[in-house]
Amino acid sequence: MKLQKILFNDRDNVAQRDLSPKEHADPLHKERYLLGMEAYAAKVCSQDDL
Amino acid sequence: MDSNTYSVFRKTFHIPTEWLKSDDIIYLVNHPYGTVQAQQAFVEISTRLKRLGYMENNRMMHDYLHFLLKDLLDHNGETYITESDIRRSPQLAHGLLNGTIPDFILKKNKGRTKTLIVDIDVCLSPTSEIKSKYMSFGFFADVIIITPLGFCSQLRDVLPAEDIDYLYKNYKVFLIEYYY
Repeated sequence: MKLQKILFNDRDNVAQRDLSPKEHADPLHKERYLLGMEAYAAKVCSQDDL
Repeated sequence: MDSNTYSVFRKTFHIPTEWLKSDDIIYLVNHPYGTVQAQQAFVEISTRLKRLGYMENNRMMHDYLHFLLKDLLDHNGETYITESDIRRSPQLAHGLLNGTIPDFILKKNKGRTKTLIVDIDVCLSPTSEIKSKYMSFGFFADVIIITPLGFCSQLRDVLPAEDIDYLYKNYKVFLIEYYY
């Protein structure tokens, strides 16, 4: 009921915005971050083994 | 309800980029939901929802928040990995995260001194219960839990206020359509 009240208090359309991705200095930033996190995970797990 | 009053309930809301790639989602968004041939329309809609895995659970609510948040993170130039990246990486999923799969892991930046784990939960479980899953990760990350009723304050340090407002307003309109 609480959720329903919140929802029906505002039924107006939302003005749509252009959410184009911000240009990134490094186009491979996500891949590099994933690799970095995997390397960190490997390091942490090897410490656990010790 | 006749077709004149019906149109009052048809609202436009931001369709996340990921959803724009799906013909089923486009069909559901553009469907007039009229009363003519309602039974046939219902079959069509349920078939597509089932195909998307969105029937009889809250997965669609979760995915709307997930994909719109992803668009906003990209718009703000954030570097992150998503749950699908984590699932594909045994070292992360089973090693570092011990089988727990959050929605996003955000890289630290100028305003954030620690890695940030973001998990979206639409099952309305107590936040403390969900957060307890992540307690052991405190040595490398902070955690925020996004729920349908309380994501604005949680995202305060992640997105600009206008983006949080945009997410909130669109999510409300999406829910009206979803429940309709």
